[in-house]
Amino acid sequence: MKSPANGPLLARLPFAAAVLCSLAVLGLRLPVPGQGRQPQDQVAPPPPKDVSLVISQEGARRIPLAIPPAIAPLNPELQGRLVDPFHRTLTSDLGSMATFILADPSLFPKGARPTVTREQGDAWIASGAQFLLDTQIQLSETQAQPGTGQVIAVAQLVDLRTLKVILSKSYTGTPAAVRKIAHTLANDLARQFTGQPGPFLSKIAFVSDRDGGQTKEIYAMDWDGEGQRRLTGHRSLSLAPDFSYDGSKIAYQSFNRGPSGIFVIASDGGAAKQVPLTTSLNASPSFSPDGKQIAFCGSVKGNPEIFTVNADGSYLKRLTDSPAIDSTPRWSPNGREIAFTSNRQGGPQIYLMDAEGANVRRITFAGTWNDEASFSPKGSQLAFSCRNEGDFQICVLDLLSGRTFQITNGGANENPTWSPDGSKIAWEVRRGDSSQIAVANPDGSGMRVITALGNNTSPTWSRNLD
Amino acid sequence: MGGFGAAVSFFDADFPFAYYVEQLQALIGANWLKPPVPDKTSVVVAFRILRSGQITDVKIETPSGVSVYDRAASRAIYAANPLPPLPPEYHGDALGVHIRFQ
Repeated sequence: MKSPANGPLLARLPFAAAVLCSLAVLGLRLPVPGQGRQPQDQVAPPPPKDVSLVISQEGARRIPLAIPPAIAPLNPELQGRLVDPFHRTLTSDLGSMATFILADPSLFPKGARPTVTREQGDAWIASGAQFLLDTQIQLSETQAQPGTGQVIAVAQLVDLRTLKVILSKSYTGTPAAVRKIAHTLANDLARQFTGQPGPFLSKIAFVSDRDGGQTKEIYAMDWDGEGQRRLTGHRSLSLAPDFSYDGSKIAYQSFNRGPSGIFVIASDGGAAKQVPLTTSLNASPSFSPDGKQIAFCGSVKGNPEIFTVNADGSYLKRLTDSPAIDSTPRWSPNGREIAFTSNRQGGPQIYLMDAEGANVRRITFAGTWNDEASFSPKGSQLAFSCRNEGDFQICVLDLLSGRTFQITNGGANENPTWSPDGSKIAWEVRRGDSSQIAVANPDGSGMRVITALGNNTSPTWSRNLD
Repeated sequence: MGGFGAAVSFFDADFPFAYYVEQLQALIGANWLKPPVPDKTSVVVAFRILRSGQITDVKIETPSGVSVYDRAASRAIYAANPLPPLPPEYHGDALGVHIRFQ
């Protein structure tokens, strides 16, 4: 708990007068669904003045947010099918953000919604909240055909100290899309507070052995582990999925036609297409950011090297030429560099080279084995599997400062992948005989295991936010 | 929640974009790493926020006399770029901001 004395202070009260005229139009009641912003009275406002602030404390401050369950008609079926999953999804998404701290629901006031009066606002503030996310859910009437109605969710975000509504939105969708509506609202709130959406509509693809019979198939799920579905049906070994940057495709390695090959499948499933290759080995594919090329680990004369190839199999090009083992290429987000693992100077370490194969330089030096590099979305950090002694852990290297942080401790941890907004890392954690996918903040805090069925490994996070 | 106690005087004035200033402060504050300097060292950095949230025209308005301190303050602002878009109800093209780091 930080001392109020160190808190922010506004030295000057800036453009308050300029904007008072807009207050009247910010309604305090939940808006009618679909209703747009009302026109404002234009009274030739004075030019806006500057804002002056004092920042005297270091580090992030979390914004206290209250998220009570949505107001909905009293109907047990509606509660279980819509209101509960909506609430769980919303609190799970926003509760995972470093921006917010969720207020304690046991302290929420009764009957202070909508929050109109000062007294009602203070009742919420007493629960520890500074902002209130108030929501309403309705199912449009189609009694004749149950399950065909439309869900209407209306949300407003109230600044409890001013009682002003600062975000007001309504969403419509099928009952099956209620979790997607919650993710969309969470993204809108993230955008409001941080300037960019969260990872809440992104997907994670991974490898699962849950179908048994020694097979491994490619699966996909939402970022919170919901909606797990099988994409491939090879009944074979399929490994190492990688999302294209636009989220439309997944490249992976599979043995379904005998020798190892690289395949591409639409990210919502369908028929897989093999990339025709003359190389053998054909492991760990990585899409170029423009989606036109795939880097992979292949071999012509028995020694693993890094190759690139067009997605249609044309223009096969060998980038490395070393008697050592070069593997696990990962294309950088700006397309200009490729990270890979090589044991050319002893133990396996991570190297960078230009996308044409020139200018190879080593970038990891600590530990005996560093592997499976993954670039952060901005390209400034690299997550990787690091080992000194014992099991692999997850490390994050800041490429600007050269500093490395280990973010896991306990169990074996491998195969990190970044969320598209850079706010999370997913990886596979093995404890005992079970491997599962975990998600956490890039400093390792807030870890959650999001799979449970069978063994689940090799996560790849989609890179598009919507 | 003591974290926003000092901000209350400011909200008492019914400043309607309080939430925006709050975010501004949180996002820049998150990047503010204070170099070890004598007490009472402070620097004022000025910049403008475009409607899109883009930060422009960062300049040291009142130097602290310790260049590493001034650079750390500028860095905190650059690292927060872009900020969230300005509130839709705000009618200016850009918002001028002066921050004293102390």
